[in-house]
Amino acid sequence: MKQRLKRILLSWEAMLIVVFAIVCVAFNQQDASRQAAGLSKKDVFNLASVIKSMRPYMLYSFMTLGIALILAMGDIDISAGASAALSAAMLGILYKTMMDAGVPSGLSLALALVGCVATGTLCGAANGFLVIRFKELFPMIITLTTQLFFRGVAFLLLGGGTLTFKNDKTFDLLKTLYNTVTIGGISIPIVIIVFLAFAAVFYVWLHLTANGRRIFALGTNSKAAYLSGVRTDKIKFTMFTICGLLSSVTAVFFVGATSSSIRADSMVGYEMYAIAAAVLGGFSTSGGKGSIVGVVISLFLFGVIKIGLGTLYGFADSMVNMSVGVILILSTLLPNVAAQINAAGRVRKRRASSLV
Amino acid sequence: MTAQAPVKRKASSFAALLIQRREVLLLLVLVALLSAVSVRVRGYIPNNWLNILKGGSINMVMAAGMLPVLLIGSIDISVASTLALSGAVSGMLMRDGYIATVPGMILVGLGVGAVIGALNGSLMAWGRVLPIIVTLGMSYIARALIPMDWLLGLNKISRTNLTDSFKVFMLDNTFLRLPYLVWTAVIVTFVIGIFLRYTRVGRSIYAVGSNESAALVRGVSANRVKLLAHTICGATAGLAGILWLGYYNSVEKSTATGDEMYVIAACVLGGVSVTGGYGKISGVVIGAVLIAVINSAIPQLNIGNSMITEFIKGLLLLATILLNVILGWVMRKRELAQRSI
Amino acid sequence: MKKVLSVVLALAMLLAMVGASAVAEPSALLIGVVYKQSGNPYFQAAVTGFEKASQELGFTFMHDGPDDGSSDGQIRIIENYISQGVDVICVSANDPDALVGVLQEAMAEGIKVISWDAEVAPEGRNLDVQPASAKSIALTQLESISKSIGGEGQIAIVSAMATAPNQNLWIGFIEEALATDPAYANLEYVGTVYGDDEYTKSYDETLGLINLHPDLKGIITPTTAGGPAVAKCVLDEGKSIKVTGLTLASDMAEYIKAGVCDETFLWNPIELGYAASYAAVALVKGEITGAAGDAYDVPEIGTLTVEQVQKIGESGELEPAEGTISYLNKLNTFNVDTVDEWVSIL
Repeated sequence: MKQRLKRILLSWEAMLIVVFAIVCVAFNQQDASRQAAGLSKKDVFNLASVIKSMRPYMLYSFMTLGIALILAMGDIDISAGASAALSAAMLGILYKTMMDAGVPSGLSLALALVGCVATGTLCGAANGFLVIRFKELFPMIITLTTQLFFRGVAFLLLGGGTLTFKNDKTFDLLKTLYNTVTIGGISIPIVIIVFLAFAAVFYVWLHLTANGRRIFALGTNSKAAYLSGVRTDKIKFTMFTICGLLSSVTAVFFVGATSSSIRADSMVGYEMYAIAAAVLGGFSTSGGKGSIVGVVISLFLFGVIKIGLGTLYGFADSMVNMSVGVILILSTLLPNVAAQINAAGRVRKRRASSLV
Repeated sequence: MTAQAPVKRKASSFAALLIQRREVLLLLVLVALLSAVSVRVRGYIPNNWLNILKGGSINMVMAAGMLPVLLIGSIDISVASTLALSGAVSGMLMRDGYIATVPGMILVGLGVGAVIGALNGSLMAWGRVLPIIVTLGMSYIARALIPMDWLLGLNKISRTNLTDSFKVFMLDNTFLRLPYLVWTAVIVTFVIGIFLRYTRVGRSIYAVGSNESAALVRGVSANRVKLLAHTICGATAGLAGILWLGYYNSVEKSTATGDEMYVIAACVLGGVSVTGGYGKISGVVIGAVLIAVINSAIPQLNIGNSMITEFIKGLLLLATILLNVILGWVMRKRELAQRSI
Repeated sequence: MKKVLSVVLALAMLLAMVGASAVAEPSALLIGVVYKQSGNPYFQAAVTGFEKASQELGFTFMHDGPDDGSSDGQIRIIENYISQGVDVICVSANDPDALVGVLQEAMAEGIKVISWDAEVAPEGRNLDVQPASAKSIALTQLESISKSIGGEGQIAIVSAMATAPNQNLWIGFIEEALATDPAYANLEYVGTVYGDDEYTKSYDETLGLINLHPDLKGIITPTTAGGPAVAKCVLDEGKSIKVTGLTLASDMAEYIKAGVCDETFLWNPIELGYAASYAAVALVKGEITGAAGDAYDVPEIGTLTVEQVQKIGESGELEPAEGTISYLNKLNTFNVDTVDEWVSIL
């Protein structure tokens, strides 16, 4: 029991929560001192405003779940941003085509959404197929090339232009996805609620079912997993497909966030944000570890840090990006260094005891 | 059966050539592409060969530096940010009168790049942080460090900030009709090629990539090799920053964003294995030239929409890479079939 | 556990230190300025205009732009401004429609919204402040290139992003004048290519254009980022092609002196930021509402009036459209004689 408690307290998620708390306390302090000095016009850093401001940083949360699955297997997918852009393009093109053909607007939107998700899923399936069929190639390389290809198709469909649906009541429904709902006096963005629901499902699946644990087994040692009866190819294909699907969910919310303006060059670099959040959440590119709880905390942590640095410390957007880089490196460097020091200590102890 | 056998062997030996020398396959793709473009654009090659070489030089230098990194099974996606940072720092020093000469600029560029590369390498070697994480983080950091608006109130480096001798150096000075820019790429490629093939240290890079623990047994320090490979990669990216400044005479914060993908793509096209251990400089050269041809040819093909460039790039890259693998299978099957006879 | 604790303490101390160092001036009026991309010299110049006005009018302002020039980056910045309780948001939009949703939320909270330089769709703004009417910008460039090449020959345009609303409007006016105005009957327009405001892409696209049309005589490049790339390409190729367009003086001084460009144009972004500040303050004070017919004074520039937007309708005539706009109507000309005065400013 004591051992277990110790393990929980020293777990990565616990560390994240501690850091999260420190950041919040420090930001709150800064907010209070700014207010006391008359530097800010209103209470910037409170629960209500932070939750609301979290919206733009949650757009890639769905993609992050997908990337986390891929990382758990020890693979990587850098085409997620491009497949999301292609999904968004397909959403707009399908809707426009069907409206031009005289299909009722509600049906058009529903079908276009299905087409959007199907496109993302297909992109993911294409990645998955290539990964299991061409084992000589690294997933990194495969998704590097499909990234160029997917975005190329998006440009082919949309050209360099923006596709918008002005004053279209039905398509404007997507905008409500970026709205908030008020629960208990706090307006909570819809994107957060939907994401938490997704995260709960993925938590149960990944951590509480045998299927989920097989993914980690695959990431720890794919040969051993294969020999012990895990159908590695099938799992890989499925995970890449799911990652594509989740990217298209991000695409739908992105279209809502940008007031239904659809462009081929949207969501550039989102896969990198997602990889950063997943890694901070405890997943590793070498596979086999990580937890959905950690990903949820790290997404919120990144959001809070970005909001706080921007609003309380006046950091420019590029400096906020830099802090992401520093956090990313430190979050993997520090545990490694700690482990090395620990190991060195153990060796020293053993030497000391053997001398006695 | 016996009558057909020689024919078969001939075909399979050609396939063998394609597999064992991946450069040959790539060369065929290059020739096919060039002839296809030449059919549509009259006089494409005579009018453009120099532009292709000039446009491809910067990518070539970075790809040559990427080769040792890929050979040890690592990766560096911070090269484009390093390029921009090196260009900005050296350009700033030239603007403020600290450096006036080309060798000075090259030294600063190499230095800035080498420092970033060494930092990447050390974090991987002794910090045990995975390459993609280190270099992803570093790409954010290096780009934010580009001393633009926050450090010195500087907006960008433009022609007015550069000395005349520097401006003309890369493009206007020629040797054997080729500008120094192209010669720089040739020299860097040559030096790295010789280093990897003919020096003890260079061969240890292949050794670490093929089997790290075996290399360790033979007395090669994997950590030092990692540091070395990444320092080389960073230094070439830094040098590329100077070349960029010499070619375009301008560097700003968003310079070369996303170009790291084309650097890696040039290597992969050239048959370099990303899992480490296999890859040749000759392949990388052809890969870089192929990408330069695609970049130069598509705007001239006049296919209506300039947006199609990205699509064709992705398609060609995907097709070439898959073709490479599939030919490998065909080859192996034939070998097995022949053995069973 | 001790180790964890020490890390925690170190982090806490670090953050506390950062916390002590923030400096800003308290003020009644807070303006948030958003531009297209950080590190762009054009917007840096505009910021100095806001700075000048802030000293005269006594407001505080913050300014930022996304690293990647994306719309979602601008949305992030705007949301940060809203949560800080700014009174006015002045935005140069990467996409006219993408910001409408978040700006409407801002307006619902009582924040005034001004778009400057690049417009936001009318439903997402109170007022648009522009340097000069699109038609006058377009025709100035066309007239200049026509004069440079002696009124006849092939001309082309190297634009920014294919989606860029300003550039597309200007190109529309240029195309219209070429088709209808007899003064340009001998000009042959071969088309527009898009350099995406990237140096390399602009250079490569120009090279493609030159090779495709060996008889090309003139290029218009209505974007500051494209200008130096186009001129450099023309110079490198040694062609006798004339270039004009909207450019920064420091970028083009060399090409103007080399004879590639006879003259280039730009409004003064410092004045644009300056005028936008005065419009912002007038809006907050209730002196104007952003409706057509309003007028506000800007020192050194004069009284600016708010007009109804006009767009080219289906009949090809200018028609009143949704939204209001006010023009500075001042365009600077850079030529061999004047460019040196501007090099240090623009």
